[in-house]
Amino acid sequence: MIEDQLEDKSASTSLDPVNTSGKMVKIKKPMAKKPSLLDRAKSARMSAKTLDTARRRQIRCQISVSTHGLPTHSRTRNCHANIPWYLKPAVPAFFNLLNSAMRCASLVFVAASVAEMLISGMELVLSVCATRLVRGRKITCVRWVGVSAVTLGIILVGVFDTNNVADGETNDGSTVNKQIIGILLILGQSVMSVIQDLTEELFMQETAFPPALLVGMEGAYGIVIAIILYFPIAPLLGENPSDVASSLSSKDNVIGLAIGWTLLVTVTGIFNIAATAVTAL
Amino acid sequence: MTRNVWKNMRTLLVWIMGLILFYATGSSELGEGWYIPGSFFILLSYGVMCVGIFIYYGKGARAT
Repeated sequence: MIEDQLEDKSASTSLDPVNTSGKMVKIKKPMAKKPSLLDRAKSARMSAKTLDTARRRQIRCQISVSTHGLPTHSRTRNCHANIPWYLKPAVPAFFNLLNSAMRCASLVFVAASVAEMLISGMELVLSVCATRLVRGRKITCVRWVGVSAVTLGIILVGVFDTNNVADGETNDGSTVNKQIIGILLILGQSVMSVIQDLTEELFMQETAFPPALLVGMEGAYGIVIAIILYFPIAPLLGENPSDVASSLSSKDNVIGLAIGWTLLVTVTGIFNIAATAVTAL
Repeated sequence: MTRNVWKNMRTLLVWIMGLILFYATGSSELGEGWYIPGSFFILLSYGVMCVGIFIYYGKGARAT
């Protein structure tokens, strides 16, 4: 009704903002024939019905129309609004650093193959749960079945590997306690990895941060944060930064590292790009 | 889907390399050995995980 009245008013008078004198002038338009009381009641009922249907459609759209199962109204829009754009890449960079550190530390306690299995499985399960809880992404029932099977696999791998260690079959001197520390580190690295992925996704989807710029700035922030943290933490782990600096100053080491690192990054990059190009079809 | 499924084969490659290193060098410091029946159980569990990953990326992706 209110909408109808407003429409009626706007039909009868309107303001023309552009005129020769530069002043707002009322322009009178011809009035339509006044509707009867019955016609008014009918149109009111119709408009209420139309409004109701439109609202229902809008609500349905908010639930079903989405990008990769995401609701149209973001739950996380306000949580990153106060971070300046140039500081945004520092957030995933920090979590990436923690993730890498925990991953490397876990390899001291757990066999590489088991660590790989647990990492790939835990990252999938945790990322599905996080994206459902934090971003409200819709997950299909079939996908939940897949996640349940992966969870079962993770539990079985963890239990059987711990049994192997407990039986003393691995012969590498590691104890059950060390094994548990390793598994906890893997869990921690998976959580950090999921937070990193979530923040990257948020910044790219909700603030339209260019992906290449995000990756580049994330790398730069990563180096800076790692260097800052290295000097106070390295002595606690029994490493002397000055020894590392002197070994790096050796010409042979520098040349070997430079060639090896460049080759590794180039080959990995080429394979990665080629794999994406082939499998994304 | 294909890439996400095949990416998990990296684990298998790491395991095979670990076994080769262990039996080639004979050192417990390098690689990892194959233990019976423990390693078979871990392989079976890994199989369960791979099935889950296949369902998630294969059938789950088609259902959306």
